[in-house]
Amino acid sequence: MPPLAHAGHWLIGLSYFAPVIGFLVWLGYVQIRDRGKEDDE
Amino acid sequence: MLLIAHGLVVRSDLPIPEWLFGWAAAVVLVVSFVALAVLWPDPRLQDEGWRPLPEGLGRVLTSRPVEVACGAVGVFLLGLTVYSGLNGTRNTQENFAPTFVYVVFWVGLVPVSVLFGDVFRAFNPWRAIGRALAWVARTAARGPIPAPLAYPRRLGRWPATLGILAFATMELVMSPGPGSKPETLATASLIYSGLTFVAMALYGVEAWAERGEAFSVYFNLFSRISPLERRGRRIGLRKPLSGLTGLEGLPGTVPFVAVMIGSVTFDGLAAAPIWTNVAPHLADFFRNRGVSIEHALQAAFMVGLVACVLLIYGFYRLGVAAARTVGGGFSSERLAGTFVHTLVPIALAYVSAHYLTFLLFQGQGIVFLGPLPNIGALLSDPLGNGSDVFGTAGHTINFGVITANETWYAQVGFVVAGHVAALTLAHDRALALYDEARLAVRSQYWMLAVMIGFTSLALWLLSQANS
Repeated sequence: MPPLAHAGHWLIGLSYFAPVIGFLVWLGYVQIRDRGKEDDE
Repeated sequence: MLLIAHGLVVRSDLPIPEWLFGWAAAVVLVVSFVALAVLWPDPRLQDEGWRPLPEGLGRVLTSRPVEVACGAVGVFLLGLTVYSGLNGTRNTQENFAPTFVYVVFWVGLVPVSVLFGDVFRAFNPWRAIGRALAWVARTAARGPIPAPLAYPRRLGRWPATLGILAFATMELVMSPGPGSKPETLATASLIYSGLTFVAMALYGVEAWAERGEAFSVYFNLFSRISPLERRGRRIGLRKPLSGLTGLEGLPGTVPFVAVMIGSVTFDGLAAAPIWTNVAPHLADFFRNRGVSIEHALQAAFMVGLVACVLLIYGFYRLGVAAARTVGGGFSSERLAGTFVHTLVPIALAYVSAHYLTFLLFQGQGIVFLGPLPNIGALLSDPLGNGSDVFGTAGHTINFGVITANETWYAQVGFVVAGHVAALTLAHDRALALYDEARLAVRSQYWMLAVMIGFTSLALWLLSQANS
């Protein structure tokens, strides 16, 4: 079966993990931003 | 797992899509995190605040006759399991042994431990027999017997980890198949008993029960959530969850908890299309290397089980490694051992949510849930040979105990409550560990990520039961 035929299942499965993915992206951004600030100081 | 699926009833009429429950759970965790940061400025759980219950109650419950009676019950149930496994019907569902071991003992004792404390310690058949043998040896020797060897610290909880992994292998890799057969369970019980007695003879009954015996360690971890605890000859109350803060991060503790969560994860994953698509390819891989069909499939399942355990272990270690970057000067090893107790409520959430219907439905073979709880069919006919000791052999499973939607809401509730409890424990420990409150909160950003990750995984796994 082509993967695209299962795209709906994959997307629904992925949506469960959206909060943790979003949170990790935000956390990574904050870390990088804080490092930049510390380097500037 | 053997017998019937855990979430065999199809849900309908949920007000929002199932995945949105995952998002709502994540929001609850973030709000809890903020609330803890604002409203919980000092450690409150590091001191258990244990205070004894009225002395008479403790004296009765911890008296020698009660201890002997509890031990005797444990030994009787172990004996019944072995006897029915070896002499009863080969039908998994009609024999006492599989339902008792996999449902009542493995799953049912978990809520009992959380509510009433370390109950298994009192009923532990191996500890009871070990203590009885030691008493006989002392009496025969008319004096003290040689002291056991000191339990090596480096062994930590590793023997228990191997024991629990072996049990999970029987349950999840070899079932359906030899792992769920009554005779296999009986033989495994005898082998495990033999190994346990040898280890108890070497290192002492209490030392082995505390760290090496798999089921003692398993149920003791859950019992640390309980507000009830025995100390000496007294029974007392403590703050709920606070018993976990005293958990020593011995070698093997993180892997032990990873097996606890990882095995449930794999049990859920085994029902998911992603696994049912991958498993045949994995099995083919082993078949092409000369492994028989049956063993190739078991090898594939073993790979899946180990992968799930490693996934949980790796995710936790990743969170710890990230938390280390905020400062404080602690090693990853130290942080992993210091926060490992926070994973126990998560393990409870996984077990409670995943095995809820399994316990409520399959457990009726032992305790029938009719209008009033009653003796189950398997106790009336443990061998499955047509006997009817209590006149209840005709009882069948009452599936009306809980509806599909009630199950889902209860599962989501367990998952959220377990992770909020874990977050609370982590926050409390961070406050005690770090000198600066700012560092404590920043380190917990990463633990929050771990908790949200485990929550998402738990709800996704539960949703797979119906996919």
